[in-house]
Amino acid sequence: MSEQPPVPPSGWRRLHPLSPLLRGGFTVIAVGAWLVSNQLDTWLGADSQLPDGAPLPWLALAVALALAAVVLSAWLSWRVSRFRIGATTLEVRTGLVLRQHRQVRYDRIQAVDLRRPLLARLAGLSEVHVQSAGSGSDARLAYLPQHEAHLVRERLMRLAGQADEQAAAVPVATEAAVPVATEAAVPAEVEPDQGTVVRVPSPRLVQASLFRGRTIAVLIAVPVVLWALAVGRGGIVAVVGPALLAFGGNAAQELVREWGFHLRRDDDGIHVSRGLTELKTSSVPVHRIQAIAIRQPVLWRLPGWWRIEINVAGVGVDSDDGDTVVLPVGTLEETLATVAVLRPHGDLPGVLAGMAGVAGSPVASSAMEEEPGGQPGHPAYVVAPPRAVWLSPLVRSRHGYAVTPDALLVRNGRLRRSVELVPHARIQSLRLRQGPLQRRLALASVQLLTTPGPADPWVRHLDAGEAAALLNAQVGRSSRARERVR
Amino acid sequence: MLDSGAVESTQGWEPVGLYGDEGPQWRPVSPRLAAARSVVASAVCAVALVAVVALWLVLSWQPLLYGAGLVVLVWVWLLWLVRRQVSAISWAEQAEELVIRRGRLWRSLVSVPYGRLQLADMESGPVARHFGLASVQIHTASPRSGGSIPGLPVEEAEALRTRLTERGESQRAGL
Repeated sequence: MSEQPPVPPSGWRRLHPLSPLLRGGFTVIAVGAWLVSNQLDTWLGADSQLPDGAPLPWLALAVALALAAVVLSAWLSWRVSRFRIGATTLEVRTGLVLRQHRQVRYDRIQAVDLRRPLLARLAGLSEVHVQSAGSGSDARLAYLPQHEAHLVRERLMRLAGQADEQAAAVPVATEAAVPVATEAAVPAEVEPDQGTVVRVPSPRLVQASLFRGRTIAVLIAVPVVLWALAVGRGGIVAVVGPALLAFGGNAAQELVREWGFHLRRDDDGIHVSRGLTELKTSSVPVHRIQAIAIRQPVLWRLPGWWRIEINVAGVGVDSDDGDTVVLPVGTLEETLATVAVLRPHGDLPGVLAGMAGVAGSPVASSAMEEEPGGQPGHPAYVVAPPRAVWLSPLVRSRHGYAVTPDALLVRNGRLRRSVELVPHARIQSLRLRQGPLQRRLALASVQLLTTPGPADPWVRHLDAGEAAALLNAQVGRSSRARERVR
Repeated sequence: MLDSGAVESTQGWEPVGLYGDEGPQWRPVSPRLAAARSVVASAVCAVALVAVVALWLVLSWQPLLYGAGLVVLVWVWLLWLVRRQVSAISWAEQAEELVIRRGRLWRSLVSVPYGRLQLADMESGPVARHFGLASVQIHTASPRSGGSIPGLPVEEAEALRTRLTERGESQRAGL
């Protein structure tokens, strides 16, 4: 494995020859299966689904021609698809008739995913999916041999980090030369425990999936359906049945996606590996994280579990593939460990305080003493004033925000608790809002806008003066933070 | 980082609020915007009124007359609303961000740092053009973020867009 030649600095390279067939893999298999099953039917003397009177030799010829066409087009598509890791961009050329030449700048790379669908896994291949900000600007290298895919991923991640450092430092005219020696480093999966932050046991995933609101819905719905079937009222089944199936399907899909969840951290960023049928490893440079959402569905309060998702520009916007999840279900310790990997230590006490109910819960204080990097003193959450009870009777004292040196924290929810975190430097814009009822009560809400994603922090029902003060202070904090980051 | 200076030292930063004229220099949008919007609203209402009245002439069905009265009421209300809304829009350029306020019943204030600006657009429809108005739209990396200032005189809009783009360049911050 270590003799594998490092990725040449430039020079066009091809994908694996099997790629086009694998990309169209399911169609080929489906067509083949259909033909075979038809053939079986004819042999067995059953009615054929083929057009009447098509004699067998002609049919065989047609099949052969079709196969030849598939193979030829696959070969052509392989011939014209090439990619190159250039000085500042990743370039991908595809298409015979409609030529496409896509360039992704390293400093625009938001995340690099390694996908291994079932068929590709059998063939020992992986797809490298390079996500950049903005939808429709991604580059996919499908497919590469496993080890090569690993090397390309590592290299791109390193280049993505470097491009940023260069932009941040005084511009020195250094070529984006990656130390070649490190390229030959062992691919990550040879030593899977290197830098492990959290490994989620799959039984817990199942249990967590059961501890959701939808389970209650299912528990109610199943007897109803059974009763309806027994009594013979099809109408009820027609209404409840599909919803039940949707719930079940949803849960199953989530399980399959998050099976074997593993979060690692190294110098290049965080790496999330998961999947039962399709293995997927998403790598995100830590400074690309725009916001973090830590949530707890109601029933998870019994075991004390939390879920963490992140906003990354351009990721998880077009499709809900669970790409934004960095911890599907974790204990308090695991949750804190994950946050500690994503954020500087100064943010931890505030996050903890936000996770604990209304300020001063014993969980928060005891765990904070153990936290070595934690700052003394309870980070105070500024909460909605008592008169906000009129607008938010139950959650009033949970609506609040806290400021740490690096980030703004927003907590919400009494039954379904959540803490959202936005680094000062990552806030896109701020919005102050006041509806007619809020006006009457002299309240206002502040919305912190980040790139689209699971976290959408909104400080609700603050005292109007407090809200304006937050906005004004935050403008300054964000500006200073941006200059530090820039 | 370079010559753009730290926040504290930069002149031209004032705290902003939802109400009042204190703070930075709030600028209203052109009153002609009210005229332009009134024209659009009136056109729609006039068509509706004509349709209802024509229908009444054909069918001579009494309730249609009340309908016509209702249309007139809505018309008057819209004219009043347009004035209120337009007079509620104000904007200010701070040292590092653009602030836009709008709305009366539902008030909002959005503050967009120049460094977050991805793109500044100028837009002018046929009616707005007739009144010599244009709107400036600002886009950040988040589609929900950003904002727009409608009803600026064309030259002013042009100048604002140029200024915004320049500041966006000089204070640019990565994602």
